[in-house]
Amino acid sequence: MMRKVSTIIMFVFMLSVIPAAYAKGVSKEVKVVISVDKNRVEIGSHIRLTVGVEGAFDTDIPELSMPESFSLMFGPSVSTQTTIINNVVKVFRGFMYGFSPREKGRFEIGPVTLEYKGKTYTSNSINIEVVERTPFESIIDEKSDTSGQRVDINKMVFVELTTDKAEAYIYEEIVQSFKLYFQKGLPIDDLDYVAASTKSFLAEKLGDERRYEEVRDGILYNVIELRTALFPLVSGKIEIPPASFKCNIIIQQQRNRGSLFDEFMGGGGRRYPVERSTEPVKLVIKPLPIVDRPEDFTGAVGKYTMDVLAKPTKVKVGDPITLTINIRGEGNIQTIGEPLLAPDGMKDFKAYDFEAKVTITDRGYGIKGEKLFNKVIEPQSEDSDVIPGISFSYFDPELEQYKTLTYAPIPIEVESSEIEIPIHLSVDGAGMAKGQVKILTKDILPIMSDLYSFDNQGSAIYKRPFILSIIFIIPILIVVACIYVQRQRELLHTDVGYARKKRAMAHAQKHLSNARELLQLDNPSEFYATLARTILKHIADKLNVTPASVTSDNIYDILEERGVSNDVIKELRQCLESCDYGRFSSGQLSKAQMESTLDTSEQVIMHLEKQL
Amino acid sequence: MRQKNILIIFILSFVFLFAGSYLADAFARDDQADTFFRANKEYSAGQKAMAERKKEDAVGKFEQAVSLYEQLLESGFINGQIYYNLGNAYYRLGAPGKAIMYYRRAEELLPRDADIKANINLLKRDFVDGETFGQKPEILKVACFWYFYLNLSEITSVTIYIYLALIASILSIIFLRQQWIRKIIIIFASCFLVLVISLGLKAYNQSVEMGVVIADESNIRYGPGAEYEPRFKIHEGAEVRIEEKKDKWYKVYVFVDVEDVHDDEGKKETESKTGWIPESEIGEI
Repeated sequence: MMRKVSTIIMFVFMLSVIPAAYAKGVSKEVKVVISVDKNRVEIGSHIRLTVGVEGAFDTDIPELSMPESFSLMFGPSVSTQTTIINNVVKVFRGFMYGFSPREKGRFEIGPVTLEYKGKTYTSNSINIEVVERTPFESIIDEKSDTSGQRVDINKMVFVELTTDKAEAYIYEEIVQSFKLYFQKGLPIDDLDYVAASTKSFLAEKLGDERRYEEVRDGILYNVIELRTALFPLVSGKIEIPPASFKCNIIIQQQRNRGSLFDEFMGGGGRRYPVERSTEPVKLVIKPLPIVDRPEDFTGAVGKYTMDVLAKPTKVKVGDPITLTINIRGEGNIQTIGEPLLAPDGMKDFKAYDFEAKVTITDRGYGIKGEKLFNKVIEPQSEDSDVIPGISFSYFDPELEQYKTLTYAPIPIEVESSEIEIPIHLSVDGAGMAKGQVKILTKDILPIMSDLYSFDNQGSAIYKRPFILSIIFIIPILIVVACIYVQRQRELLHTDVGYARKKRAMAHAQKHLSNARELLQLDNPSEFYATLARTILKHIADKLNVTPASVTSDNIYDILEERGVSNDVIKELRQCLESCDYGRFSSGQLSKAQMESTLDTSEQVIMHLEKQL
Repeated sequence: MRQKNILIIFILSFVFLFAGSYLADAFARDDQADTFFRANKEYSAGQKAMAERKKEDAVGKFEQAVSLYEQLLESGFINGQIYYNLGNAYYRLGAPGKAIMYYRRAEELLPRDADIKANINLLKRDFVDGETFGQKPEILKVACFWYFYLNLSEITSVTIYIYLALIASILSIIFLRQQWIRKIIIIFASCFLVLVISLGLKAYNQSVEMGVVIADESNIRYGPGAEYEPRFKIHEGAEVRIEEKKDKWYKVYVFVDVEDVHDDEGKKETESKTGWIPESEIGEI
């Protein structure tokens, strides 16, 4: 979404800017320039010649006359280039030709003439030297150059370090330019610039790098310029040491000798490291004149103006007045010293230190900006009627003389104040060692206002004994219950007698349920047999003996020994006798009698469960 | 089926009970937070008026802030921030004794807060009797950090968590029978023991009644009444331990050094440092 919006904004911007800028650009003077990709060429090699027309895009093809020994290989190939820099449109139309020389010697090419709107424009001329094929002389390792292709890299990339003046005053601004020239179309990569050491200067970078084209010895170069503002700190003869530059050139080795294109096309070619250094630059730095130096001069060199504002101008005794002093101009803004308030007039004021803020407004052609000084003063008596005058002195290197800016005293109205000023900010410890900070006032720390942790701490859990006791007792009960359950489980697994005794009732109920089904099926013999078996098995389980050892003959004695009551034994006897009778007299007993026997059996089992 | 319904009704009753209680707390908290916010605003306005040297306005604002903070405390809402802010407000109103009293209360609830300690130290510097009770060595504070950096409520919560972890590990060993769980049980049991002891100590310390002298100067008398002779004088901000209460008189033990001019060798120091002070001249921590 954001990309779409920015694209639309850019489009609208281009629509509005380009036509206006075009009109501006076209109205400029037309300039014709010829350039070659190299001015020393071997017989049989190719040379690329470009006739460039700047400032017009609707011209005819310029007339070009070449020596006879140069064979036209291609061209003209027309290209148009439009660049917009700072709302200024530059139009460039290039007519490119390819030639191949056949004879050695020195040749002058040009000038080229162009007729445009009734005017004739003439270009520069260039010299070209055609030589025999010679061994390769560049820094390229010939062993690695297996293709046999020879190239001259030394002329393709070079650097320059210059300054705008050779002589300057101490603290005066000097603009240093580092220029990297590389032949147009030369693909370079991994640029690494090592700036010249400026230990005798204060250095401020000037704007972004500038890129433009320049013709040197007939060859068109792309130029990258890095500029720095230098402010010399010492006087005498100073040398700016060389700056160095490293990069890699990507060379596409020519595979097809008959190709009309340049050898250097970039991309996927071999990388040749190139390192260049500039010449050192010598400067003469003059000291500032001692004659006529103002007393309040603090080292500002350049051109400055000063504005002063005091607010408020109607105050009570002890109330603060903020004095804002704005010094703006060209020069080293950072090092501008504090302006001077007339000391005699400051007796009736309590003054605090200056606070300064630097703003650089322009870094285009030099450092321009402003330094804002804020100072708080407090009138100490009603007699104070003016803020004293302010002065600021600087040295103008162009006029070679000192200048002093002054601001007249500012009238103020001071009323009496009834309240005493309790806070004393006097600097009693002015003689303290540097780095020590004196506490001016002692005060309590501010209030807390964290609503996130603002909850009722009065209802803490330790104030609720009931909940606390529940929290501590319930887990203990759970532990006790778990221990009991686990013990039961272990007994059931390890003690067979216990397990049989515990499960006896469950087994009996299961068998009684089977008996009830047999009752429904009207199968008396099986019904009574099941009942008798269930009772005897239940007793065997409870006594932990084999079912076979419990018979109708011995069972009553065993139960009697175990303390079973006589009523239960009697009930059991009747029940077992009924079962025996029922088994062997099938068909003679009614269903009601069978149900009665079943109920009796259930009761007997229940009683035995309790008593065994 | 009937048993299942009873269980569901029982659980739902508990849920409603807790949800209702929580919501009631939340609504009440909103009201308290609003009052707290207004009180803070009054305090800030007072601070601003003080900076502008409008003394009367400042006093009015600080008094308003005090009123709102005390209103919060009277409603049963207790928080360390309220005590601390109240301490600040009283300090601004020129009552450092009361300020110390509220800072001490705040310290109990917010033991890790450095601002409270800083303010107490700042106020103590200006007191004539600025001795502080219960100062512990730093090594002890590091070794028993949980005791000094957690309040009573926090120690209780941690103890409960450790107790539940101990129970869980006991349950684990009942069913799992793994030997390594025994080591965990030992660790939790040790932590639980230490925490229970800490809890006990903390609860005991907080149960000890402490107080601060809030009058500019106060006579410590031999007995509970103005008819008894003064034994010595102490000044605003002095911290005391309250040992007994009788007819609006407190028997206190003072932490300041008392010089016994009679130099009675048989008399214990404790005896010479105790005396009676009117209830109105003491603020209970």
